Amino acid sequence: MMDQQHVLHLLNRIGFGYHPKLVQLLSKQSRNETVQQLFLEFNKSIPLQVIDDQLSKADFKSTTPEDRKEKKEQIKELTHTLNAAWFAQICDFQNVVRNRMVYFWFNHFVCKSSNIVFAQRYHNILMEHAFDNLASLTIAVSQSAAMLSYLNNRQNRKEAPNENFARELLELYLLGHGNYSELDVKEAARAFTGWRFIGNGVFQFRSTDHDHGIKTFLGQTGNFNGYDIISICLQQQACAHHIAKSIYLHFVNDEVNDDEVNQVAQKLLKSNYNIYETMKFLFNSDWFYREEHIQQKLKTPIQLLATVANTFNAVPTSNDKLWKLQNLLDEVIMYPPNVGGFPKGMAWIDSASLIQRLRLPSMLLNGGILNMDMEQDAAAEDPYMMQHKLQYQKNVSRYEWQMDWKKFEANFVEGNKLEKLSFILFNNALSTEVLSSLFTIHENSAKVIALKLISLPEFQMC
Amino acid sequence: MKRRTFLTNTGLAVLGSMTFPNFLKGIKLGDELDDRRALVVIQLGGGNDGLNMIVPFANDIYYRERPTLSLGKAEVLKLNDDSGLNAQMAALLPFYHNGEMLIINDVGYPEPDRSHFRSMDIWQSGSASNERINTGWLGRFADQVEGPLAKHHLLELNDKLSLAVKGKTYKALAFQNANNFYHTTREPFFTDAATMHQHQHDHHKVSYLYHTLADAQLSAAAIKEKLNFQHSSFIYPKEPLANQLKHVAELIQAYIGTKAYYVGMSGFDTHVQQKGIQNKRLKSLAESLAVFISDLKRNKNFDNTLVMVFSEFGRRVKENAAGGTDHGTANNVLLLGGQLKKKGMLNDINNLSDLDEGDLKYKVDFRNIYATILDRWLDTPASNVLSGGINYLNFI
Repeated sequence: MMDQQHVLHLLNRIGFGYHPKLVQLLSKQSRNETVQQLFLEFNKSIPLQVIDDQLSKADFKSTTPEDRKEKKEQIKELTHTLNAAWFAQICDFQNVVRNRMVYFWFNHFVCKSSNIVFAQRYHNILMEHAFDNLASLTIAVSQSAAMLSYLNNRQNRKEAPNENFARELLELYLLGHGNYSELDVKEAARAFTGWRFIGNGVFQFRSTDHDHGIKTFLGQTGNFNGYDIISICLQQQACAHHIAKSIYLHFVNDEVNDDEVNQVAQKLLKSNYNIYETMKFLFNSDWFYREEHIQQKLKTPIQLLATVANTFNAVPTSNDKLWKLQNLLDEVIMYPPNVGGFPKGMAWIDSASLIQRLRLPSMLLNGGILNMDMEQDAAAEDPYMMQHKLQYQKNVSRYEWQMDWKKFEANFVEGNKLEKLSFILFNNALSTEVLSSLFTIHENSAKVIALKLISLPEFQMC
Repeated sequence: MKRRTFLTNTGLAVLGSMTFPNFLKGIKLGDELDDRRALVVIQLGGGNDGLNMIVPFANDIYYRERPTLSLGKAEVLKLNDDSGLNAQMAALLPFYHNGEMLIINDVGYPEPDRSHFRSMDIWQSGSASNERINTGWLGRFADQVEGPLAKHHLLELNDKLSLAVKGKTYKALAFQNANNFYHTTREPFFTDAATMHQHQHDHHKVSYLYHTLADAQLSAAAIKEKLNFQHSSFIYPKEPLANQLKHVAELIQAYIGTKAYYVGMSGFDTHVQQKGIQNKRLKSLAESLAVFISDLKRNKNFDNTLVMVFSEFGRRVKENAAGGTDHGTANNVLLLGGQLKKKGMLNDINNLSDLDEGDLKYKVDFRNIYATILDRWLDTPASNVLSGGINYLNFI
């Protein structure tokens, strides 16, 4: 039977944290069986279909200024709808493994599109190919309208090569900096000339724009096209290592253990870059459960939100609120800041973001109020502070979620609430001394305890 | 250097009932009163096209390579026989003429890297192109200070910290507004938790979170006391950069002891339809800077301020097929301040006849500028901070 602490560790990394139903379903099995069940039963690819795929620019053409304003508003609303639909998938435990993998690929094959149809399709490509082999995934991504626009390959023509896509393909997606030369970038760009899209985002290879000449890429010479470039990249040890490192940093630890990364890289090579096999291998490895890896990853803002949503069965009350909240926390899913993607690891943390994060739970679940005991509240003595506090609580309503505290408390009628909650929320990472000194005897409601616990820095980790 | 101990000087009254964990005792503020000099770094993100900022308007090659993108004589303000300032930046022209703005041409580094991230990392870390340093040049400058350092020795006016202001042990403070930041740090439960945590040291990443929290509370209180609700009375343009600069002017006036401020502006990655986009950005930049300088002058702070404007690379000489330009290499750096030694341009503008595969060859290593600033403005030996490229330029 799998250790409970290990089950939580697995769920933190393969999914989006503790989920009551998931934990119930997975108890009393071996590690192998648990991983197997998760990969088989919680791994369906469900495309998003909240945006009509046939919508085109013509549908948003406007004639008058009022009309333009209205169309702009429509696009904004649809953008928020798409974003919220993806967040709802993240919070859905039934396909948690697939969704976590898509979340990972979004920050590896970083791309964004202000065209909502293209953005939805890009999401669905990552969804469909999340556990495919890397070659199919890379080709699908490279031929998507979103990517062809984002990194300007649609403007990449024989007479006027545009290197933007070729460069990022080598640097960020497949090889990593230092594993290719400037000349390789130029030659790869030539090979991708003519990859573009027509109409409503349908991929097209335009032969007249393609440079049919001989190219030399990573030491090989031939009349290469885009497929050849991807395939030559995948032959490189550097590629397996780059992908393995990206997977390791996301799923295991911010600090690289060379031997462990190397094992993942070798698995990628041996399985012909089969992502499904590689990920199963990772979660079945003994080293994945080493003490050094448990509770050592910082939650991303989305992981934080998903954990709050799942643990407390809480929901954002509108798409617009959810959008604003992601903006506040600097992680708007599907809208990365640049092609480098969202920050990784502890890079999320500085003084301001940390405080924002610590105040998040009380903001979402309790109108911004953390200290329900007013005697402790220094604000009461300082009028300016009081004013700020009231203003803050007013602002908070812009983000607030809906949750049923009574229902939540009902789960914690019996037993030691503090112990139970501390286990669920921190995987036992908090010592009993600290717990008992922070919580006095009369704080006996599960609500008060839970709110304070998730406002501790320890909750930032997973 | 004289330093004051924070806990003995700044009013403990401000801190009210807050108690601080042991590891904060003895934290010092930066130099005060006797040396009020500060550096303001403005980062233009995306790769600003220097050739359309400081324009070689007398050069045929420029017009040949940029048939649609080049600026005509009417679109530039003549600086000398060879070059002119993009006319959208007219607000800066007076400073150029009276010796308060210096232009350095062809700034870059050997073996240039055309990736945004890599080149920005090179500029921010102050490394050579073939070495990777995961600390910033200003962060390492702060690391040099002995003993515990106030969190706001360096300050970034942003939600996030840039590599430039992250040292090995020291990381800068980041906020958009000091007053708001102060109030968000005051939550008794956080203070209780931080106090508790001094007993725990095993979980190093969690400890980092607790230290960050406590440092922030302390700095926020100290800055708030000094700032004391002073507001700049100048009207700045409506532009994120202008908001940042306005607050910097207020903080400089409050003498909070910060040695370097880091601000930024984005939107310079102009692969497509560059002209209108870049012109608008440059106009905003120039107008924001002009108000900032007037603001500093009114309070006699301009002599104590040095502003450096840079971008991670310039752009290719030849325009692309989409009315834009692709990633290039060397670029202009602008320096502004009341104590510049050199007037006009430090070196001649590129004549565009000697290019490296269509890109400008660098003439001034950017680390020469850093070295000069470190040594002659921040009073720190450049060799303690930079591993190479140390040569001094004669501008301060």
